Amino acid sequence: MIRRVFSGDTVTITGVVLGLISLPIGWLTLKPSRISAGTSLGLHEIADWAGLALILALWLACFTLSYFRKGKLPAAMQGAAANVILVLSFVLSGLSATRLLESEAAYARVSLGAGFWMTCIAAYIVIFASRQRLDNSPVLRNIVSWTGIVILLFLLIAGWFKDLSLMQEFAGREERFVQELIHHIFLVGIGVAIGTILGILLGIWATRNKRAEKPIFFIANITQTIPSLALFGLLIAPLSALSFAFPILREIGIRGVGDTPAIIALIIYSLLPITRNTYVGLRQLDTAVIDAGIGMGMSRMQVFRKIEVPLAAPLVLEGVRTASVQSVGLAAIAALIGAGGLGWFIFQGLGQAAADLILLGAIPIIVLAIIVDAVMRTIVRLATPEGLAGGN
Amino acid sequence: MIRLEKVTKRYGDTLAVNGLSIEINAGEVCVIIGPSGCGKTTTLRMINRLIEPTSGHIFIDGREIHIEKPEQLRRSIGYAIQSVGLFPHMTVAENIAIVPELLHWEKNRVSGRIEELLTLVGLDPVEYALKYPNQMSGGEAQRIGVARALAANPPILLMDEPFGAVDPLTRERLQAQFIRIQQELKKTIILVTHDLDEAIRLADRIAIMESGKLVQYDTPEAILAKPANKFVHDFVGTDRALKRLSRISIKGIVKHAPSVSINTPMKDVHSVCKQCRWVWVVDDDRRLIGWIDRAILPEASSVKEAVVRGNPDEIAVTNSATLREALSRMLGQGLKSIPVVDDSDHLVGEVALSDIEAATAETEA
Repeated sequence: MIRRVFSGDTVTITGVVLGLISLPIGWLTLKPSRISAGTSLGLHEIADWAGLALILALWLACFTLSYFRKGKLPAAMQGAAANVILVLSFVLSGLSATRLLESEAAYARVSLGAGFWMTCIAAYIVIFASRQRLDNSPVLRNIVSWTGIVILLFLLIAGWFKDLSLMQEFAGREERFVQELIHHIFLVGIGVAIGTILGILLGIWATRNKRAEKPIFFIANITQTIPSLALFGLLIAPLSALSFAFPILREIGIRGVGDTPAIIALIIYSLLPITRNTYVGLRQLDTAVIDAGIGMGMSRMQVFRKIEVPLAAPLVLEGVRTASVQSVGLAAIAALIGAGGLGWFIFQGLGQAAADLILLGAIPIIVLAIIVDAVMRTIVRLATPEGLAGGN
Repeated sequence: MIRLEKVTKRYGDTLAVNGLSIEINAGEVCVIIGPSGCGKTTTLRMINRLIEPTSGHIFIDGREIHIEKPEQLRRSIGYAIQSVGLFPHMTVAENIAIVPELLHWEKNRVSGRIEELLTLVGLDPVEYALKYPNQMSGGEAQRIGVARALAANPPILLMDEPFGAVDPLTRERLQAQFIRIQQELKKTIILVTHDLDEAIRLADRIAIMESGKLVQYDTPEAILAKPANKFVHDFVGTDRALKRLSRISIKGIVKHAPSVSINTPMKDVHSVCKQCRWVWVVDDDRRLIGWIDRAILPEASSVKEAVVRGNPDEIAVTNSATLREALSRMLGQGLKSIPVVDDSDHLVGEVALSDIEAATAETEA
């Protein structure tokens, strides 16, 4: 019996089970003020029976569709259902917040609760499962991946969620938000860019020089094990010492706190994935290919440019992707040493015990990481030479 | 012409190549053969300076090769290797165009050359030019490897086990194609292999190496007939007499064959040949259709009735065959002599087992 139930797609079923569990858990928290504790409201308390039935029906649809393992249509329908759940959860919460606040005092807030977030995660798991099953049809896969998110963005701009506490935190800080978002991207961009250049050079050096290989990876590996908080902190002392010793450094903006240590830390963290992938990318090349190139009269530089670079590029860029996604998250810590970025909201929120302010920093970081990942995946795909993209 | 003078390559304490001197004539195929580790590949790679000799001199057309820049030298020498080494991110056309582009050929000339070469190696240019290496079979890739080596029309070709990585049937086809192409192009080719049959089939001269030294350098016939020492003797094996047969054309021993037309009256058959037991039967166009066994002749009333019909592909050999093929056909058919036909199955003569023996004995002497 149990085996039959689980003969469907296990990823989807995991998502559905999580989605169903999250239904009775508190979706919204109504709080008298921004930082006070509040009362938790389940889905049944904020949605009418029709809304509740709809979500339940959609979950069951996902469950049933996961048993139709052949063909694109069931997979696409399953993805569509999960997208509807995602949008519906936001809409229900947004509308309920507006309704709840009508009868409350001016300082009252409505925060999103565990049940809501779990539903979002569950919906995403089902979307992910459907994506996997749509591997052969890129159009459908992209529709399934992005429709819900795009609709949510429109609703967000249209103000449907303005009464959620999260958006109220945003309301007073729009300018700051944009500024920190740009700064976050700037920190990551500079850190990864320099990390890429250094990482590629180190990777090439490691393949060319047997004696350099070991120490390079020893150091690169060690840096990855330093806790990020510690690394950011550790950089303060030497950098301020330097900037005091050489005032010129201070004039061009290099100080113990602020952007400089943050960028240096991000560079250091970017080094390992990029160096390692460059090394592996160059080392995995068929020696016969290089031998043929040299044997036909290519110079060392021509072999590098025409053979090694194009063949290693996909793997190198894959390392850059890892580094970028990782840096988007790590840059949050930069706020601690005065570099700003989206982490600023997180630490402000922590200081004020205002959960929604933390989310105002955390959610954009997640979204940014997802976008960077998608962009880098596209770049990797475009950089993969046609002859390597599978024989067909 | 390529000349190596007392060339030595030392790796640490081991001598990979030890005082090797050899001269390779222009337009000849020199096959270097020997057990693994004998230094044959090292020797090959010293000729295009992928490896620099520890001592000694190498000359091409009288010029010492290290006068030129290695890249320049290599662009004038075709290079094909066992694992082919096609660039996986480039199409067949782009792979072939490598050396012409290094030499800054014009676009039109390059594309014309690609078409020419693909046709030469027996691949349809339209179908193959835009394929990627991972879309081809091993045999096709090998042919592209050869086409690429020939791209800039180099006078010299270095080949390191170019037919090593394919199945025996494909290898045989590639070898036949190699012989055909070489008859046409007359390149100076140095080919490294460990396959003796391949060496005998392809070589004008075979260089046998043992632990870095050249032990014998001669025509295949001479090496098979007179191994220089025990090593060569063992290396060529106990069936060297048989191997030698594959170097000798039947042309020299084809003799007149007794034959009758299918419409000949029975009584006339005896006058064709009084002693022989078998008489070949041809049609009015002199095309071979079978034979008559005279031991059972008296019982038959007509040639048509007495003839044992056979497919010329099975019972005969063509006049371009070697003694080895003729012998193997005879043994297979249980015949003491075998008819020889031209390309359109016309009977041109026959080869007798005793003549093959005699020919073998002659080269042995």
